[in-house]
Amino acid sequence: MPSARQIAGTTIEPRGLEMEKIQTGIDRRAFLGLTGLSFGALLVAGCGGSDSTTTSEAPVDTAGATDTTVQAGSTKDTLKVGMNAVIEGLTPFAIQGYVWSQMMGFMFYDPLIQKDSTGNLVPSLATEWDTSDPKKTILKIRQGVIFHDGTPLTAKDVAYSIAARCDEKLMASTAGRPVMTPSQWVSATAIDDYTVEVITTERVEFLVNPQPILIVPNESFGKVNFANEVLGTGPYKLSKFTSGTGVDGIANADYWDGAPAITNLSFAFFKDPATAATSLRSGQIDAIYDVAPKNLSAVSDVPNTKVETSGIYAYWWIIQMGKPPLDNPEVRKALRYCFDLEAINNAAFAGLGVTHSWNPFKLFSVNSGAEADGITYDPEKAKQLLADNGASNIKVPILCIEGYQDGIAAAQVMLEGFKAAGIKSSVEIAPASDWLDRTYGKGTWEGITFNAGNLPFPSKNFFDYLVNPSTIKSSYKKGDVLPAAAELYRQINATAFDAPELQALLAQAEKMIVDDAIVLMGFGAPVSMVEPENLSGVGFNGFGDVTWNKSIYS
Amino acid sequence: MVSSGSELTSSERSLRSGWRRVVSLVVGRLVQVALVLLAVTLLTFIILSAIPGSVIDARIGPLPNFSPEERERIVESLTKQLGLDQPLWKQYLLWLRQVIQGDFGYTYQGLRVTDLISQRFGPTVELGMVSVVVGLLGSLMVSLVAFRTRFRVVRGGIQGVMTLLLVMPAFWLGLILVLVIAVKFDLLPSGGYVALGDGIGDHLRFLVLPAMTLALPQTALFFRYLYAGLRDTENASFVIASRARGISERSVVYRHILPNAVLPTITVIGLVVGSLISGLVVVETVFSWPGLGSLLVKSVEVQDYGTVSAIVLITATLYVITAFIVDVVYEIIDPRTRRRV
Amino acid sequence: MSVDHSSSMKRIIRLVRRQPKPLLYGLALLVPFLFVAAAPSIIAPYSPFAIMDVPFLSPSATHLLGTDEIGRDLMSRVIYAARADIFVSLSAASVAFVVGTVIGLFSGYVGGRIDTLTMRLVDVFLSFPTIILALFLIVIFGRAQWVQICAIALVMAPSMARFSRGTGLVLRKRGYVEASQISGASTAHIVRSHILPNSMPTLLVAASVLSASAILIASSLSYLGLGAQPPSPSWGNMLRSSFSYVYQAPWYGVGPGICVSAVASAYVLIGEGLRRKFARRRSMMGSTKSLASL
Repeated sequence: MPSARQIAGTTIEPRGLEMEKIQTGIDRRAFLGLTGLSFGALLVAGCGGSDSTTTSEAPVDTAGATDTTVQAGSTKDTLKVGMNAVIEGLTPFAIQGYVWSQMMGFMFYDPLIQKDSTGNLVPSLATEWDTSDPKKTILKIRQGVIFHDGTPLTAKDVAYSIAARCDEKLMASTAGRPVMTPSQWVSATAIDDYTVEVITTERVEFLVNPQPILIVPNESFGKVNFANEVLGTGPYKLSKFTSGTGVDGIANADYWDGAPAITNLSFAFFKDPATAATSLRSGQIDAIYDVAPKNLSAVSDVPNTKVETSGIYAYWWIIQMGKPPLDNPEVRKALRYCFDLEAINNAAFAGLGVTHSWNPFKLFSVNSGAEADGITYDPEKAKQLLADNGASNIKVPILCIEGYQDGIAAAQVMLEGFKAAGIKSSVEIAPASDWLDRTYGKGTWEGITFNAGNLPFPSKNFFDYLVNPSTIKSSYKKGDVLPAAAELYRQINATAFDAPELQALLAQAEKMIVDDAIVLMGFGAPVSMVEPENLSGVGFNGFGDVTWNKSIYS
Repeated sequence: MVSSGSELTSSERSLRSGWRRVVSLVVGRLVQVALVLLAVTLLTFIILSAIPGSVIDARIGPLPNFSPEERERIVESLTKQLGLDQPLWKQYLLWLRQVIQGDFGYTYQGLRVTDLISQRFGPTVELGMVSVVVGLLGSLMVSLVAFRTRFRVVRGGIQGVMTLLLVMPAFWLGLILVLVIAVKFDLLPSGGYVALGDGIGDHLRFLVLPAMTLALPQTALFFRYLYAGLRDTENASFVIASRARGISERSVVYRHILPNAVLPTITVIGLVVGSLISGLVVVETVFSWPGLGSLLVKSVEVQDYGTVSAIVLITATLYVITAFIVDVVYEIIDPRTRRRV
Repeated sequence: MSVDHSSSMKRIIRLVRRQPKPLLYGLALLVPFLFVAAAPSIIAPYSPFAIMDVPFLSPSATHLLGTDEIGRDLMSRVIYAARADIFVSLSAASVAFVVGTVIGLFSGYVGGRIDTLTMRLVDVFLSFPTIILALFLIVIFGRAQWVQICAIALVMAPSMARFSRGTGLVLRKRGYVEASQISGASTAHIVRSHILPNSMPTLLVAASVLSASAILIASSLSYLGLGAQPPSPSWGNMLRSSFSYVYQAPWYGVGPGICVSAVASAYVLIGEGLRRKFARRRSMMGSTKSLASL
C-alpha cells in the first residue's frame, strides 16, 4: 500500500528512519547554490539571446536551385515533412478538417476533382461532370484506376464514398464531417460501371467542398479499420502509421497519374512549433509544411533550405448578432475603432499579416490597411460612438479556439483595446469541440469569436465561412439573425459557382458585410513551407490543397 | 522423548513459520489490493459520471452541420448501446465489465482507445525505466562520493544540489537543459522522438534529455535515503566491530555498509513509481515524447473523457500493484522479518 | 530612548539569532514574495496586460526581462503572476491542511473500525498519482480557479490525513489525554484542547511541506495549460509559452522558473527550520518518528 506522499515528484520525509539522522544540509550553501544556478542560467540564456535573430524573413518564392546538396538525413528518394498538427487517426472522414483532408489526404486517396491555382477544376477520379441541373449531378468516372489492393475502381465505389460523406447514418458511425445536411441528401447511385448520379433536394456544391470527398472502396466501412489503415487509389500506399507521431508512405507504382518520383514520403506530427524547428535543424525532417509567421524566424536560417509561401490563411472575427447590444450595426461599427491593427499584426503574425480589416474579400488582393477606410485605432472615439448609441459599458467577451495561437494572441491585444474604450471584456479559450458546439452547433456563443481557414474555393464558399453561423442561427433569436443577409446567403448557395450571375450576388454580399459590419475584422497571413533547396513540384494551389506526387529533387 | 521423523529442529521451525508468515501476509495484501482496485474503479466512474453526457461526448463529439434533432436521434441510439438509460449502479457494472475486457471505447475521431494507448505504452515504459535506472546508478555514485569524501565543502555542495533538484519543477529543469544543451550548444534535439527501429543512434539522441530531466530528481530522491542509510548503518555495531578488526575502509564501505543501507532504499522504489508517473506527464509534454503522459494532456485539452479515464485507471492500477510488489519484496528480503518466530 | 527600548531590541535580535538558520533563510526568501503577491503594483514597472512594444525584445533597461510574444513587459508579468500562483498554492495547502488534519486526527484518536474504514478510503485516493488525479478532476469540472484549488487540495489532503492520524495515534496514549477521558470530556473537546495543540508543531512542519508541494503541482498544472488563462500571467503558463518560443526568446522562461523554485525552496527551508526547532523540544512529542508516515 502506498503510504508516503510525493511532492509533485519528491519526498521530503523518509519512512522508518530517525529524522535527526538526516543531515539535509539545507543551509547557506543551498541558498548560495540556488542563487548561483539562477545567475548561471540567466547568463547562458542571455548569451543565447543575443545570438538569435529577431528579424523575420519575408517568404521567398524561389525556383529550384541548381545546387545538388541535399539536406542532412535525407536521400533523393526520401522526403520527410513535419507539420504543426497532430493526427491521431487516418479516417478519411473524421473531423480533422483542413489538416488531414487537404494536406495529407491526397497522399493516400484521390478526390473527384482537383483545383488549380487559378480556380479551374481539374479532373481527378471524375473525368466529366454535369451540374446544369441543381438537383441532379452526373459524374463520369475515370477508367483503369485501381485501389492499393489491386481491385479496380468503379462507379459503385464512388457512389458509396459520396454517400458516406452525406448520409447521416453512415456519418454517425464514422464521427465524420458531412458534406451536406441530411435534408439536402437524397441518393448517389451507380448508373453503370463508370457513371454516378447524385440527387439532392437543392443545389449543393459537393464537388468543390473544401473538405473533399476522398474515394474509398464500396462497402468498406466496417470492413477496413480506416483509423489505422489506408485503402485508396492515391499516389502513396501506407507503410507505417504511428498515431500522434507520424505516418510513412511508399510510392504506388500503379498510380493512374504516374508513379511518384520520390519513393518514401513521410509526415511527422508536432504539437509544438519549437519541437518542429528542432527536428528540422537536427536533420530529422527535411521540411516543415505549415510554418506560421510567428515561427518563421526559428527556421528560416537552416542551411540548404528555402522558404516558399504555401498559402494564405484568413482570420476573421464574427459577432453574436442575435441579441443586444451587438444587434445594432452602429454598435458593431463603433467596435472597429478598438483594434490596434499594428499591435495585432505584431502579436499574432510577427508583422507579416495582411489586413484590410473591414472588407475581408479584399484580404487577398489589396493591402490597403484600415487607413483606406479612415478608421484608425481610437478607443476614445469608440467610447463616444457607443455612448451616442446608448451602449456605454457593454459586455463583449472574446471566444478563441484552443491551439490557434495567432487568434489567442490577437484576442489579448483586442482585449486591451476594448478595455480602453470602456467595454467589459474577457478572453475565453475553448477546446475545438466545445467551440464548434457553441458556434456552428447550438449558436450559444456570446460577444465575438475567432474563426480561421484557408482561402476556400470557390469564393462563394468564402462568403459562407464569413456569415455562417452568425447570420443564420442564434439561440437568442428565432428565425434568421439577419434576414437580409440570410436571404442573400441562400440565394448565393442556390447559384452554381461558375454561373455568371454569381459575381453580382457576391458584390452585393461584400457591400452588405462592410455596410452592416457583419464581420468585425479580418487578417490574412502567409503560411510558409521550409523545404530542401533542391526540392520542387510540391503542389500548392493557394486554396490549401497540397499534392505530393509531382515532388522531385533536382 | 519419542522422536518422529517429522519433528523439526528449532531453526527449521522458525524458518518454516517465517515463510508461512510471509505467505499469509502476501495473500492478505493481495485481497487488500483487489479491494482497493475495485474502489479505484468506482471512484473513477463516479468522477466520470459527474457531468451528464460526458460518456456520449467521449464517443461522438459534436457534429457540426447536424440539426439538433438529428444529433438527438444519434444520442438516443448510442444511449441504448452504452446502457446510459440504466440506473447508475448498472451503468457502473456495464462499464466495469467493458474495462476488464480492455474495451475503453473510442476517441471521438474513431480510433479505439485501447489501440491508442497500446501504441503509446512502449515509449512511456522505456522512458520511465531508463530514468529509474539512471537515477539509481547516479544516486549510488553521488551518495558514495558524499559519504566518503573528506571535504565538507564537497559534501555540503552535493547535499545542496540534491535538495535544489527536489524543489525544481520538471519543466524548469527541462528548460534549463534544453537552453544549455539544445539551443546554445546544439548538442541534442530539444524534443521529439525517433522509434528504435528507425535508428538506434537517433533514438538515443532523443532519449537523453527527457531521461535526464526525469532521472535527476530521482537521483536526488534516492540520494536522501541512500545517504541517510549509509550514515545510519555506519553507527551500527557490526560496522564498528569490522573497523576495529582492521578491515580496510573500502571493504567496510562496500561489503558491510552499502548492502545494509540499500535495504530501506528499496521501499522508496514504490514511492518513485508514483512520482515517476506524475513526472512523466510533464516531461513527455515538454519533450513531445509520444507516451501516455502526453496523450493524457492532449486528451484533457480536447476533453476526450474516454482516453482520460482509461489512462487514469491504468496508472492507478500500476501504482497500486507496484506498491504491493515492493511491500512484499521488502517483507521477504528484510532479515528482521524472517528471523522473527 | 529608555533602557527598555534597547533591551527589547536586543531581545528581538537574540530571538532571531536563536532560530535555526533554514527558518531564517526560508522566511527571508518567502516574505518578499508574499509582499509582491499582496501588492504587485508597488514593484511592477508596468501593467502586465499593457501591450508596450514589439514581441520578443531582449532584456534591456526599459524591459528588464524583455517582452513576451504579444509585446508585454515580462518583468511585470512575472511580478503579477506571483499573486495567482501564491494564492492558489496557499489556498490549496490550507484547505488540504484543515481537511486532512481534521479527518486524520479524529480517525487516529478514535481508532477502531472508524479508523480503519477512513484510512481505507484515504488509501483509495492515494492510489492515484498526484497530477493524474488533478488532471482528471480538471477535465471533468473545468478550468476555473476554484476547481484548480479544490483539485490540488483533494490530491494533497489524503497524505495529510495519514500523517496527522499518526500523530493522533501517538497522542492518544498520553497521560493528560487519558485523564481527560476519565473525567468524561467529549471526543471533540479532547481533540480540540489536547490533541490539536500538542500536535501543532509537527503539523506545522507538514504544512510547509504541503505548501511546497502545492506550488509545484499548481505550476505544473499551469504549465500544462490548465491554470490561469490568458491574458492572466502565471509562472507556469509563462514557462509554457517560453518553450514554444525557445529559439526566438530563450530568456523568456528564466524569471518564472526561478520564482517557482525559489518559493518552493522557501517553504522547504521553513519546514526544515521548524523541524529542527521542534526537534530540540523533543520531549514534548516523544519522537518525531510519526513524521515518517507522511
